[in-house]
Amino acid sequence: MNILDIMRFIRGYVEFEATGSFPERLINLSLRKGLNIYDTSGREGVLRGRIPKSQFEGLKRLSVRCGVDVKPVRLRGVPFIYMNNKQRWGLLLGAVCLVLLCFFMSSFVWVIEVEPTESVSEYEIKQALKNQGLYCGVWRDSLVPDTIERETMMELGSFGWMSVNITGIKASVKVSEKYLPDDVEGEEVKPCNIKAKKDGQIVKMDIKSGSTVAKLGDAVTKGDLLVSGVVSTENGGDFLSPSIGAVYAETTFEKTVSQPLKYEQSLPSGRETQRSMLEFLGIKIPLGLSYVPYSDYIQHSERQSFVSFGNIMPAGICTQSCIEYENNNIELSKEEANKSCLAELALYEAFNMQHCEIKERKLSRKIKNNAYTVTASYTCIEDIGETSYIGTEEDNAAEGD
Amino acid sequence: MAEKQEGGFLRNSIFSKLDELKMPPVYMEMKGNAELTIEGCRGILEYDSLMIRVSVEKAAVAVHGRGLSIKCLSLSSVVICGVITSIEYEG
Repeated sequence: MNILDIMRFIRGYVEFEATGSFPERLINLSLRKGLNIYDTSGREGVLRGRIPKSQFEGLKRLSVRCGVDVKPVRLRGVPFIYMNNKQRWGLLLGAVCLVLLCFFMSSFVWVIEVEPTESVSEYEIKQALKNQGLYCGVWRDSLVPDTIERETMMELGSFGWMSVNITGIKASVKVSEKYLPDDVEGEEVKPCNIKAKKDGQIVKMDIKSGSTVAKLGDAVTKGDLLVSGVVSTENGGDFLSPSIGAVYAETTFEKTVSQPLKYEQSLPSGRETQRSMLEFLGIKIPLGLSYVPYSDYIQHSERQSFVSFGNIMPAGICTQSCIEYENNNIELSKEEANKSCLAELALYEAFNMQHCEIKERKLSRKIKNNAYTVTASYTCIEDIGETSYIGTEEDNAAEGD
Repeated sequence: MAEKQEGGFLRNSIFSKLDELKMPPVYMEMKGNAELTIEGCRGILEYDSLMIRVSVEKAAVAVHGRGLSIKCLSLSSVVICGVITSIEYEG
């Protein structure tokens, strides 16, 4: 239904049927008289059409001149609804109350649309907006968008730009992340040394730039200079250059993981309660008599808003799932504890030693204080080089701050 | 004052010549076979779902088709929609 149809419905219209020898003449005459006939259709000598309620009497007078019989087929629109129901004061009162209620409710913000960014979720943005006073059901005139934008950006800190637009009952929040331009100079072009970040024995060096200080087979400790950024020239002068390269060394270290043989753990009991609630204008109305009979539980909430013509309505169904958790005393056998420790070590290797080549791994197992402990001694080959920039004292002080 | 009358006469004569050269005051535009707009119509002569006849300057235009209806109507133009199969110009 477009706006024209709505206007016609408000004004009221009559669907008529014209029969006679020459009903087309009725159209021509009514046009000249300024009568607005629309949605016409002609079939088997009968002309059908619609005309505004106020012009129907004029059409009837014209029909006499044309020798056409005009019959109203259907009366539609607000004036006819009113005429049929004007004795029912309750309906009229209800309609007035509805209009007043709509007018009053439109003074609040009921829908908040937020576009999430890559680093900040929609929930986080909504929580920050709530802290600044923008939430579902807030009085619209009490909001100052500029202040909300400024305070929210300060709270979240990772936005470069934010806009809050309040239109009717809807607040649209658009955010843009900070644009950090790339470092033009680049880290690699700054003069720097390469120092050892671990103890080890050098087995391979791959130096692209800089003056090599350590040699193959050397044993180095943490902090030793491996490649210097101070390069001497043939003329006896020195210049600073960035040290680029990798220094591989054989390193050894230990990692200990332990697993208690007896411990207490909170696990799902298998019991779950679901509750649905109708959320309307910020009020939650339970749709059932279910309640949560246990004290320790984890609750998941899911909200589905009603959508009408592509617009999110300030109402929806909120479903809560409460999963009960209970404490269990768990006892592990040595084999199970060993498996658990090995799994933990595998995870450690996968995430913390992904750039290392493991040459050797020795495992030792023992039980101490009712806990199964596995100690892994690793011998690895890894890049132990760490960039250390050569700067002035001021730069170093600034970096220290 | 006399100059103004002469100027007016000249202008009127030019416009009358232009009127003679002008295209007939009937303009028709079709959108595929679904919609036909006729500008310069004088009235509806016949209206049925299979044929609509429209009076134009010194002639009539008959539009044949299926499910024909008048979508929009004013004193000088009419928009006919439906499946138009043929148009006849009855001079």
